[in-house]
Amino acid sequence: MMVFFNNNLPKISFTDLINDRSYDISYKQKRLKLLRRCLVLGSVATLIFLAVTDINSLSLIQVAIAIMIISVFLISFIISFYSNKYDWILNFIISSVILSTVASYYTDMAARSILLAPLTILASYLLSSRFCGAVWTIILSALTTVVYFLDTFNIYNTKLDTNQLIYGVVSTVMLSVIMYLYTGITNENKQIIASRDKELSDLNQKLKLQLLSNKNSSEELARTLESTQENIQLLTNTKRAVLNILEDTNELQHQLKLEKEGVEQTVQDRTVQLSQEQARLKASIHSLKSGFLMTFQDDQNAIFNPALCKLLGIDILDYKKSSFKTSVFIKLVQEKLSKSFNLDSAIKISQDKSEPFMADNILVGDKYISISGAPITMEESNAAIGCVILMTDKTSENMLERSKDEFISIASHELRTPLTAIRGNASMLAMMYNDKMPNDDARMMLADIKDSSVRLISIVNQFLDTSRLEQKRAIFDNKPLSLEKCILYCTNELGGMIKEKALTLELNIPKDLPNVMADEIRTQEIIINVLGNAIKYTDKGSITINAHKIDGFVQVDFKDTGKGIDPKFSDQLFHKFQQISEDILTRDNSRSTGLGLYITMLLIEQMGGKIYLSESALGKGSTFTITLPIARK
Amino acid sequence: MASTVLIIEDDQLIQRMYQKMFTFEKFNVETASDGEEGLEKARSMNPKPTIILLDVMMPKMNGMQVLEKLKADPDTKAIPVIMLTNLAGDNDVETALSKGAVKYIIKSEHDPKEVADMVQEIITGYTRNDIPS
Repeated sequence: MMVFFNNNLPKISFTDLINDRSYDISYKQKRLKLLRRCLVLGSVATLIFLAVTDINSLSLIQVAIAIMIISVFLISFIISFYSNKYDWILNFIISSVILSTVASYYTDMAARSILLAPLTILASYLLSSRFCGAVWTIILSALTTVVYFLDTFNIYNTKLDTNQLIYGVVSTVMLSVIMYLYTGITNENKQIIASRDKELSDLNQKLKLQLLSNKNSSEELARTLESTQENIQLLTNTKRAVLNILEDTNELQHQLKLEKEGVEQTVQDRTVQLSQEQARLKASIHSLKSGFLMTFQDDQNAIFNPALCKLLGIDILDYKKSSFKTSVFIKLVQEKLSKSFNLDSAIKISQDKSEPFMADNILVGDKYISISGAPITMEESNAAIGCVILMTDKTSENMLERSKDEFISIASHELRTPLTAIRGNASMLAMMYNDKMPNDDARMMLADIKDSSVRLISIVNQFLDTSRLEQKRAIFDNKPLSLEKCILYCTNELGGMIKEKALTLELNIPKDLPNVMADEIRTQEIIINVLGNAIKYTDKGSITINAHKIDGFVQVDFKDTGKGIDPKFSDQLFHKFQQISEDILTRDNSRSTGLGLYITMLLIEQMGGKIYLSESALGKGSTFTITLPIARK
Repeated sequence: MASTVLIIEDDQLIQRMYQKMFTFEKFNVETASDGEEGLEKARSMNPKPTIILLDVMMPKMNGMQVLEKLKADPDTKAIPVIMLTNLAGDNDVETALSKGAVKYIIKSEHDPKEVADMVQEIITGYTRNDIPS
């Protein structure tokens, strides 16, 4: 019953009033309950009216209306079970019916009550407002009453039926109360609804916000999810990558293991190889006839062989087991070398300058040894880490060299001595006993003896010169030499021959011709040989000597107008014993040994020059060219 | 006064040849057949020889050794010495000249007359004061 009399409800706006809203179930149930109650109440009221009223006094219309009202009440009552919408229609029906009821008590009011339908509709809208509903109901009731009274007075001019009036007022009041309560309930419910609406609205708003938030959250979550999925994907990829890496690492490890095994094997093999190489090296070093010494800058044990110990007279009981630091062994060696050679100094200089060193004929006791050394350098840094020294006993070799020297000297001496006697005596005979010769034949024979001895001496000289030059035992005293002076000297020496053959000699020697680096005596020998050949093989015409500077050399051309040389023999010119002929047995009449040009070639080449046939033609002459290096200033 | 030449030569043929030559050229000739004999003669001769012709390859004492001793001895130091030999090595010539020989003649390269002329030239080249009396 509290709900009927609750006055503490909030006001509801007009907007709310005209809006159709979904009411909550409890409210609907309440309304329906109330509606049904009103319908019942109305029906009861009508039935009471009918009961209390003499039906005979009612008109047909009034009865019909009463029946209609009851029908409407019942219909509404039934409808209320099937529809919860459009309460205002029901409200209209209720109000119109109630008003019609009220109006029907006043005769002919039924028609007039229908006219009040629009007002009733309006009232139904306003029924949600308790106050408005009640007021309108009162107004409508009052209006109806007023209209009745007016109408009654006007039409019938009769007295108002007090019972009808009371009934009308009671009906109005009851209607008002019902309306008031109904609207109150409606209002209350509407307020509740409103508040609930508000709550719902707030809730809705909150929900919306929540939804929004949720939406945002969802979106965020979606994003997060997306991000997470991406991360998952990334992680998956990373995992895959890590797995791949692990796989690769395993593979690598396996490979490394194989590599390691390979390297170990290689190291093993290499160690064996190195050991073998070391053994071979050691064996090689120990088998050397020359003394071998390897020193190290970091004072490691020196490496040496037995030949070194034997050569220097170093007594080591078991050299294979003996080891000496480099510095110690060098001292040992130096003791033996004494003042003949400073080995330590030579090693140091060699290492510092990265240059080899050599010393010959070092006297150690009664032996002559040669010492040669070279630094051991690292390829990359070129830093010296030690030195390798070889010592060779040259005593025998020296003796052999001496023997060779002695042989040449002695051979020449022994050959020349008898020849000297032959030549000398022949010469003296011719000089001292010319007038005692029996005849010219005797003189001629004596002359032949002398000539032959001279020729033989010349041949012996040539042979010995050739031997010495071939063995490179000839000593050259190379000095700056004026070729001009040399040529002039030689032409003077051979002037007689030139004059004898009535040959013309032409010299083209520039005044600024640079000096050459050569041995004077040898150079004279060369020029005399070449010029002598030119004179020998030229019967008439001229001999021209041209000299000029060319590419660091002085070139001298000896051009003659003699027999010339067949080109096919030009290769033989500088061969030993070879003359210009088809074979070695075919000799010319110059009585030469065929060593002249060969010796000339050896001489000039050992002074750094050259000799060659630059041009020749049979019957026209030849040009021989010699070159000698220009003396540096 | 005729010059005296001391010929120190071990080969008899050569010795005889030069002896004849120098005698022909009006020299007084003394001979020795080895280094020791030559040195002894050079020291003991009075007057000293005008010039000495010295072979190199000789028994007992070779010509280089004789040369050294001659030049080391104040009595014989001033006597000009000509190496008369068939040893034609470059070292030999240089050694002899460095030890004090005035000339190095290869016997086989010259007639005896040429040698005599060279000797005369050298003797003429010396002043009277240089030649020992």
